[in-house]
Amino acid sequence: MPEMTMREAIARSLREGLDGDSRVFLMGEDVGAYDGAYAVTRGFLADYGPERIRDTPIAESVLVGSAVGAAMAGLKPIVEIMTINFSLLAMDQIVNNAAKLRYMSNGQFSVPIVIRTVTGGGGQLGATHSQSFEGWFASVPGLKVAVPSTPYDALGLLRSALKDDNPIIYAEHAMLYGMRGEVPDEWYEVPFGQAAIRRPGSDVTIVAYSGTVRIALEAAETMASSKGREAEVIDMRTLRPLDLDTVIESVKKTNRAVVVEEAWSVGGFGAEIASAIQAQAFDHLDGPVARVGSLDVPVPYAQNLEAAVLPSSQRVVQAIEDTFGL
Amino acid sequence: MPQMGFDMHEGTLVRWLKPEGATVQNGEAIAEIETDKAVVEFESYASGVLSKILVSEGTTVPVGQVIAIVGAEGEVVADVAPPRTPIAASAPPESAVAPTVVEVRSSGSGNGSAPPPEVRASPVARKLAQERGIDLAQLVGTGPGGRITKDDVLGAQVAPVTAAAGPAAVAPAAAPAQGGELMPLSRMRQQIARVTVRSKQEKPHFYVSSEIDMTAAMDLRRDINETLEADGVRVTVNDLIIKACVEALRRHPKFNAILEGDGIRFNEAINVGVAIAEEEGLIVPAIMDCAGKSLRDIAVASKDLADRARNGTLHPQEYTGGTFAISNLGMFDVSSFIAIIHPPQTAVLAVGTVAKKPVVRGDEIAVAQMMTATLSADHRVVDGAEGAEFIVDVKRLLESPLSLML
Repeated sequence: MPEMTMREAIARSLREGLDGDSRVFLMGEDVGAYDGAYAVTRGFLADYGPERIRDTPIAESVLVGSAVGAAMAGLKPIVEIMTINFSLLAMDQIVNNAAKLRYMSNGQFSVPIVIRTVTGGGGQLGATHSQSFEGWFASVPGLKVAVPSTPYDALGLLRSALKDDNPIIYAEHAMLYGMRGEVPDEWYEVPFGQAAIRRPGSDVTIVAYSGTVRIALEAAETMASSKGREAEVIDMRTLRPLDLDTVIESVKKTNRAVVVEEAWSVGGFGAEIASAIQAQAFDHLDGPVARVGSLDVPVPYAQNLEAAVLPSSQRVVQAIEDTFGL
Repeated sequence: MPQMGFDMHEGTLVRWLKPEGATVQNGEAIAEIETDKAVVEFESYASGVLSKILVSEGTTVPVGQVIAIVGAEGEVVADVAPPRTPIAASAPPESAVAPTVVEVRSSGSGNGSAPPPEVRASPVARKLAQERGIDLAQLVGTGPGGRITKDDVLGAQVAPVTAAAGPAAVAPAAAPAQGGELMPLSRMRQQIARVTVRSKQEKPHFYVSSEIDMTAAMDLRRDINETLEADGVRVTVNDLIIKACVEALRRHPKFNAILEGDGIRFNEAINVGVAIAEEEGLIVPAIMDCAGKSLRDIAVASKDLADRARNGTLHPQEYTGGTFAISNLGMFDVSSFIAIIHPPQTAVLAVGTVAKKPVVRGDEIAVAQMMTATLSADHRVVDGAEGAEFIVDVKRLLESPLSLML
């Protein structure tokens, strides 16, 4: 099967959308002349022209607000918010307009926009550019949130997103753009609300998404090689809708769960998953649901401190040992 | 000190296999530990350097005590907490929160006056214990903070005949009226008492017997042993019976299952336990994964099992992993007997001696090598008709023994 990077997979899907539907257009800061801050839209301006590849001012609220208007008027905007940190400026448009209009108009309007944005830390970009807010959006009814961790899913989820009539937050992890993975030539889609078991195991379930899937897989490898314990790694793939069935089924088998996210543990979306596990699988638990997330401080700039604050496979292994004695 | 049976409280460090300072790998044997029943190799949980040995050879220490420290290369292990008090000493105050309830019960503080001790157990451990009728208060938790975990309950479910119960586990008999020597029960006797009482209390046994013509089997065995003589392998009568039972268990998997809560759990592997008499009592280690073994494999495995039972080097899973058992008293010239099912198994086959007897073949009286086998089975799992089908299958297989070679 051919391989490609996450960046190439996303670009392929965007081109499919532009090629297949004349209502689709791209809009964002530096998506055109600069080829995209993360080089996802390289060459798009030359191929599709300034009508469909629109550079915008640094004004996220305007950017999303005008996309909402365009969507209500019948277009299918794909918006790029350069990083999820800047989405805060567009929060009102996303949460109060995009997520609500279909409901409040009793279905007279829908808002089919895809908001692509970049999440996560690890690149020494400092406290204001290294955050993970996808969980905040996932708590809002009316939005859907995709958090791909592989090129295959990046393409498959974006295909599903482009067919959806609802506003979608599509969070690309900053550290995964160069990740290579198999992507078939044949058409496929990855549906929202269907988690993937990345590694089967019988002793503990590690729930992860986006950038933490890699951490979970490393932790599982350590558990197997140094402790002879088999961890099952579940990649949620989307946070809303959330595929709890796969998680619960796994925990009923392993009796132990650890939820790993890159957001701060305090109020993090992992708490929602942990809560669901204890509510739906209480009698199957062999210990409390463990959680690993970022430490409760702003993400530091210094490399060693940043590494200490963000979740790591060592901290996952430690949490499993501390919580379950494995 | 690792816990190698759910009610093992202490173990003796027989021999260190690695000196201080040696490099050890995760899973590598570093010491030999004697439990109540056997000497077991203890494998390191971690890779590194065996920085410090804290328990000298020949010392008996309680389960959970640190016996050695494995550190990183060059890591200095400075001050280590001194070993805890020996097991015979009175319990330290902090043990009041640990779920070792046996001590509390035998404290003689009066009936019902003490509040029930707190039992810390995980939800799944509680659920499993309830399903299987296990008293959590009797277990020692190995999880963080002494929490009783799933593994602790599962370990209790397949309790090996290796570890002794506390004295409270066997109901004391009425005090003797007269003098006469009182011989204290050995650990093994206590354990046998506990297991057999439990089996008879919870399992409604029923019995099905059959007389089996072993003439053809004995002839075949003689031929096989002549063939295998050069290999040094000898097939015993018991090996033929094991092989026949494995085939019958394959056809009747309920006899290889265990009752679990409201269901019958079918074991995937067929592990046939073989009762072995020892000086102090009885053990029933299992030959693991019999389903794929030829008669020759079984002969080799059962000889190996007996040898290792004799020198005390059986693996813990061989004590606990049996899914069916065979008890053979043929060497004692007994015609037949009935056996008690080894919990949590569902059935056991008791076989007597093979002896020449007059039998009717057609309308003639002939001499045949006869053996009586009696199946004990748990009526909660299987019924008499199924027991009959099972034992008749064993009989047919042994009476047409070439089928065991296929």
